[in-house]
Amino acid sequence: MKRISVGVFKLTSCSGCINELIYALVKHPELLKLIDVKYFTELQDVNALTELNVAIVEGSCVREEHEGILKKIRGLSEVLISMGTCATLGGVQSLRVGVDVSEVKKYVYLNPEYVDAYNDVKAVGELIQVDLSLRGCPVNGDALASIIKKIVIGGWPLEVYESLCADCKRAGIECVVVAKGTPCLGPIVSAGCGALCPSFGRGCYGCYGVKDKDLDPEKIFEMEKALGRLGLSKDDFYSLLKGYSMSLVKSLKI
Amino acid sequence: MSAVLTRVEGEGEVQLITKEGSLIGVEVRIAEPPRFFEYLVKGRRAFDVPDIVSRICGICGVSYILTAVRAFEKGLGVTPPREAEELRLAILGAEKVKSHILHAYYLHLSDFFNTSSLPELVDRNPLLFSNASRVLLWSRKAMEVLGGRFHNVVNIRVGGVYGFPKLDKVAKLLKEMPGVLNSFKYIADVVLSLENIPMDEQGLKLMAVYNGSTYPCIADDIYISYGSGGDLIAVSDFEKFVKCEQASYSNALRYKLINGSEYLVGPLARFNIGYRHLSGESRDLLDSYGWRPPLKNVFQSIVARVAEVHDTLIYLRDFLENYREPSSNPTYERLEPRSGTYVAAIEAPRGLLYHRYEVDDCGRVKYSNIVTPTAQNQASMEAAIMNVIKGEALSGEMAVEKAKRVIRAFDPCISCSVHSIKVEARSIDS
Ligand code: SF4
Ligand code: SF4
Ligand code: SF4
Repeated sequence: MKRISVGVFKLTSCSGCINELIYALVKHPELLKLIDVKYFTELQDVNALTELNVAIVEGSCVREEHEGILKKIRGLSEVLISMGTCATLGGVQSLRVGVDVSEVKKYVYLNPEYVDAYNDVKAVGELIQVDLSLRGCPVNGDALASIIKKIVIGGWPLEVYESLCADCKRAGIECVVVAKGTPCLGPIVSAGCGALCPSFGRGCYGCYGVKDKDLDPEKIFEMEKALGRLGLSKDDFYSLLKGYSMSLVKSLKI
Repeated sequence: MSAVLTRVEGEGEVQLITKEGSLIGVEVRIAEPPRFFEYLVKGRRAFDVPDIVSRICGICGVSYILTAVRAFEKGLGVTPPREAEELRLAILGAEKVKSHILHAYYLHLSDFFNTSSLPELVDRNPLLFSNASRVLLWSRKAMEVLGGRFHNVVNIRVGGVYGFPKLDKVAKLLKEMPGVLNSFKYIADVVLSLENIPMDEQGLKLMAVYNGSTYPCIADDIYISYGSGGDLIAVSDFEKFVKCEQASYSNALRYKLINGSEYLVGPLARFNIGYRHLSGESRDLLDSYGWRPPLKNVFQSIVARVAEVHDTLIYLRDFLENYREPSSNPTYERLEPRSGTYVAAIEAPRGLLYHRYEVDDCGRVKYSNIVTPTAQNQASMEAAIMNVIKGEALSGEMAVEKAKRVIRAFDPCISCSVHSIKVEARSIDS
């Protein structure tokens, strides 16, 4: 079988998803025989920006330079995957969106003029065409491994349309809203993590991002009211949405 | 000449400044896209902070969570229930194993074998790969069972934990422990018998949290070692003993002692300060290869990492052996944040991590200061490169390669410096 060429790129992020990818390669060393790693600075010294079968991008865009890099990568790759919540939806750094970045820079740095970042935080899909979006903060390494295997043999992974509640019920976990009145974002969040937080008796805070299918501002608004009754303030509710679903917040205009 | 720094967490470059062939300065440039975490937590409910700061670093999120949690608990005068604290320390331990194995084996060991990538190292020594993998994969399972997942664990909260794992899952982890320890000993053997670890003295100033009776981990005091003698200071005085600067060539904040000298945090600092608190088993292991404190230079950090992984596996073994699932969760669930200042420091895998939060009357963060290990080590990194390359005729590539090795020995976490790092390697001949 011909090995597929792969490049892994990092923008604004924490490397947590890249580490899931490294885990996937360690757990499934046979993958190293199926792929030809052309660019992956965390893993190897010799890296070339060349044509790729698959480009994997972690992180979101916070400055002009990133937009150019992304367009370049897009031009070089057949398939482009946004890996994780940062790349797919903006990520936790989006919590600053809506405030003038000069304000933000001044708040953190002694010499804000050395710091390069623009006002917005953009998900990869806001700038270029993305062929496969993987959610999760971090993505799940096992899911990642099976996706890579599928792509190598010429297949394509199925997309998930379910909400976290479906995951949760399948796993037979007691609903924290019903049992304890704990606020949980489950009904509007995309499945994928296996209902991790409810399995530890806590509510979901949305790190896989809000579902993007069959969801409208009305449903979000209802959810905000319902969680408000359980004690989650409107401000805190929208912060969770901003922190883990920013690009959807933008497109739904909420 | 410029070279991207590879095999580190995040991406970066180093800048070597030369004049007439000799090195006159080193600049470790930090320019990775900033994420502004101090701003991100502003206005957030104090107890929501741990889950946000966990995202600062893709490897040591637990350390971030626990530092924030500890700051709030201390400030509120709460001692977490023993069962919860032990579970949290076990999660922290599993993270340390993961971080050190990732660094020592997957990123660093190539330097000692002169290979340039992981796949090459795998080919060279498949047994080393399978043993390192076994330890790493076990640490992942441990983090999943105890904390929920490998990164951004979901089980730690102010006041304790959200839940306790089922005994059968814990028993399964324990069952694999002897095999994991065996695999680890294989790696330890390879590392501790390396013959090309440099032995020169770098005269390092060290810093680690320290309580005088256990190996540096979580404490209310910090020990600063000047080589001969040292100072014990309160964590709450930390900001008085260090100064923060932002070099013109970098957008990163970096730290020095108030007297202007650079200092080192991390495994080597902990090892030299806390060696006598390592378990007898760990000290025997080191002894059998002739390794004793003090470790002399940053390249020897890999020895400290091995010692720490061993000691942590022993802690985890004991924890798992004695684990009982409590009949009800003793966590303090009804805590509320009050206005005030909240401070804590703990040892993340890469070194001392310090958080300070100012909370307002509504229980929301109005100001925070997060000082990461890598930001503290940055000045030391530059000094160490100077030290190693000084006096040698600089043949471009070689010098850059050496500089990179020094940096990798530090295990910088580029994405983890909240103020983020991009390291630039460039030698400019004037
Ligand atoms: S999605 Fe989460 S884990 Fe992945 S890079 Fe972003 S912050 Fe890190
Ligand atoms: S706990 Fe949350 S995810 Fe699970 S069923 Fe209830 S609302 Fe849905
Ligand atoms: S339950 Fe929600 S917050 Fe928790 S891991 Fe899953 S998606 Fe993320």
